[in-house]
Amino acid sequence: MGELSSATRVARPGVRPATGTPTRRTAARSLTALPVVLRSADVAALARHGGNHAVAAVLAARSPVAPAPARPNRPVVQRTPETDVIAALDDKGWVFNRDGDFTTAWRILNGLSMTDMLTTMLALARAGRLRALTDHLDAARGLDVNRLTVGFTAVRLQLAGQTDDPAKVAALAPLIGPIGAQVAEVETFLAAPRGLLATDSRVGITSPDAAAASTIRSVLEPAAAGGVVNAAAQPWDGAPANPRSATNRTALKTALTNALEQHLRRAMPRARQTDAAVKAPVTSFEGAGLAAKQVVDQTFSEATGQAAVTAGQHASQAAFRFRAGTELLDLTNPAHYTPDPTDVAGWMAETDPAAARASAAHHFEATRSPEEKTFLATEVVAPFVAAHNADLAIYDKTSFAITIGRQIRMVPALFGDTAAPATGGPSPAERAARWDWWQTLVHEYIHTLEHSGFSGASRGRRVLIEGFCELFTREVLRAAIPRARAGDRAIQAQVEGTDARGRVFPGFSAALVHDYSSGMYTDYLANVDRLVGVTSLAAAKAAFFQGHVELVGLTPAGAVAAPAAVGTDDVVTVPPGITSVLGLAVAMGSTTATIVAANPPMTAASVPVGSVHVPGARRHTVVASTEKDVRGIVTDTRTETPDQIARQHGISVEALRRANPGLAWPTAPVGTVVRIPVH
Amino acid sequence: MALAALAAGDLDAWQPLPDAATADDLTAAAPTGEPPIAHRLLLGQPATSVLLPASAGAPFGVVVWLQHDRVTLVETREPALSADPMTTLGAPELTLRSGLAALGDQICWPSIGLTLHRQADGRVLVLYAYPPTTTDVMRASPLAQVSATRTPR
Repeated sequence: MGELSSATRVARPGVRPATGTPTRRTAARSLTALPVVLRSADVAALARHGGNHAVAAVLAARSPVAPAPARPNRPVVQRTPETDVIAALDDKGWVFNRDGDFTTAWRILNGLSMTDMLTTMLALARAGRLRALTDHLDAARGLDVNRLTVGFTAVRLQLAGQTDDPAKVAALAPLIGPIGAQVAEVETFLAAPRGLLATDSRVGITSPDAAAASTIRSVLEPAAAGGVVNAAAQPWDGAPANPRSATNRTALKTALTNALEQHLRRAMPRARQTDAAVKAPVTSFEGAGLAAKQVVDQTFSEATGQAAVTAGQHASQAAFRFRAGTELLDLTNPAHYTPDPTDVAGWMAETDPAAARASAAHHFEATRSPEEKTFLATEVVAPFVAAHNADLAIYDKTSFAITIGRQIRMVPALFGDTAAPATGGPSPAERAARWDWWQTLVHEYIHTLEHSGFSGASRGRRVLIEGFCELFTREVLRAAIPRARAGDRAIQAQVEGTDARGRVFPGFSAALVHDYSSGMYTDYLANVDRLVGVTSLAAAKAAFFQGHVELVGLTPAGAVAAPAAVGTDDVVTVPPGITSVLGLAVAMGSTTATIVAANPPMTAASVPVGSVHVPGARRHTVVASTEKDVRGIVTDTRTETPDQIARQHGISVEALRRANPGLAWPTAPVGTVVRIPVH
Repeated sequence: MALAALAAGDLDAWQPLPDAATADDLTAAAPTGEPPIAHRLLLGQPATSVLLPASAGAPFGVVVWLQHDRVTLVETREPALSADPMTTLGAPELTLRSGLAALGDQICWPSIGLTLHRQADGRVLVLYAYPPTTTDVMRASPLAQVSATRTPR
């Protein structure tokens, strides 16, 4: 909440009612005539009658800088968010803000939790001050306008007594999605049943057909993952069976060594510069990690909140942060990392484009056989390391981020102006480094949200693990970067820190926040974009965050699933006990006419059996999340609950139960296919 | 016993980790450990870690990982082993590609709960100890899939 949190809050039960409306005269002349505790209405009335100066005088008299000695019955001014908003609305200038400082008013509301924002808006509405504010929504530019709109729309529904009108409440639905887990707070405010405001996260998802399955299969093949591969699977031309083996080996060794030499020659100037650069303490990047977590959670909390996770997984996700010394380590600190010239040389041989071309020309794959691996290690890498050991050590410790699990070894080097500014805060160089790492840590944090069902299906395939993670990184950063550049104080405060009074440091420049780039994940992302093109982004989210890998055409074990027949997504089995089309229609939220029309030669008098088309209905496969120890032994499992399933599809639990009579909730086993009624 | 062997770098004295050692057992066996750090992720799963101090055989200390109050993994970075593990422990029961070394491998003795990741030049990068299991379980385990990602900056 930054500087806005300086307002003193007093618990509502302590608020005493005002004893009367002060007149302009009494307010101006006698502060002691004011009630002991001022409510927002009191301040508003004081402002109306006595003007801003009267309010300012009251507030100044109670300034925390010079606290007055406590006396019985001494007036205590209670600053609350609504008094702050009203003060801003009444802050009318001669030239600017002639109708009030709406920008500050919106900023105060924007900085509140959803519950506090709703309560404050309700108070403002009851004081007759909300309308003027919403008429100036343009003053909220750069803030979370969607969230603010949810707030005042919900307040209007509440005041109009329309919270039990599904049609009116449904009007909120288009706004609800982007506010994530705050939906629950809105529902509580409206006293609406849980699920009423849930958005349907499965809109537009269809089961992958044969053509889609073909694309998915190609995405999962290494050749489609951006790597240089021996597509024809020809044997290495340096294998002993080849009559020109010796000649070919020599040629390959020369080509690879030249590629490594060139690579290192190009890399060393920057590596030496980094090695000599000032290093920031890794602790200074913890704020960037918090900001990364915040923007990701804002985007995906609805998806993760609807996922089945164990209690342990839920707790660790909620508590996760990038901590120096555990999740964030310094690659240049010998206590955290020992440079490994052999490893970096092996990485160069694997990834350098010229080296990859040379390998392809000789049909060489180091990971294919012990013979090829030994050749690379002993004939190419070992001599290269012996000749360039010192440079490779510098290159290794200065030029990479090395991630093992969720532990990141980073290079906290600072480039540019490292002088601490007179106005306080980080140096320009440190500022730039923190914003740079903020983007990287968005990607790394998203990894921590990967559902165990997705992990099981990805089977270590980087195109899935990194490609999906970068897909969502792109979504987050494309929205968050403009906000950061526009001066979003919440993000800025976390990334750059604040002064002792909680204020962001001056001198922020939008140029500090780089454009989004998928960087080394570009090829993985391109492949996952192809997969999303034949499935959907919603399916990808359900797979990654909720473990519904079937929606992207995978089996739980990671194989490409058998393609679905076209036009069968609305086929459901007739629930047990239902013996009429009318009964089926009621259970599925459909109509007799619709079902009859979709299932010729069915008539309204037919007895539906087996599988039936119910247009608008769909199926849901129950999944679970498992916790495993390092050996793969399952230590805890949590299966999807009816509430989670209902929320994923934007329906009520009652509707879900009605469509699935006889199902043994809440213990429907993994793999159970549940009917999702028309909605 | 297992922790003492790791601290000394002496695999000749290796005793496998017990299958259900708890945090209390760990505290009793290694009272000098740092306070536990909760809410960490080990191979994507919730875990608590405890760092034990550096020693001759573990120059960067020993990290003990607990999941559901059971010690599931003990990790020693760049252990200083007193003898060639192949000599001490015999031929590995399982050899797999290492995800931590571009040209290295991981040599495993699942029956006594030990895995070493070696660089191509023979240096041991990390030692993992875990409750004993079978080669089939270890081959398919999350631990066998552990890998490092090198991202150019």
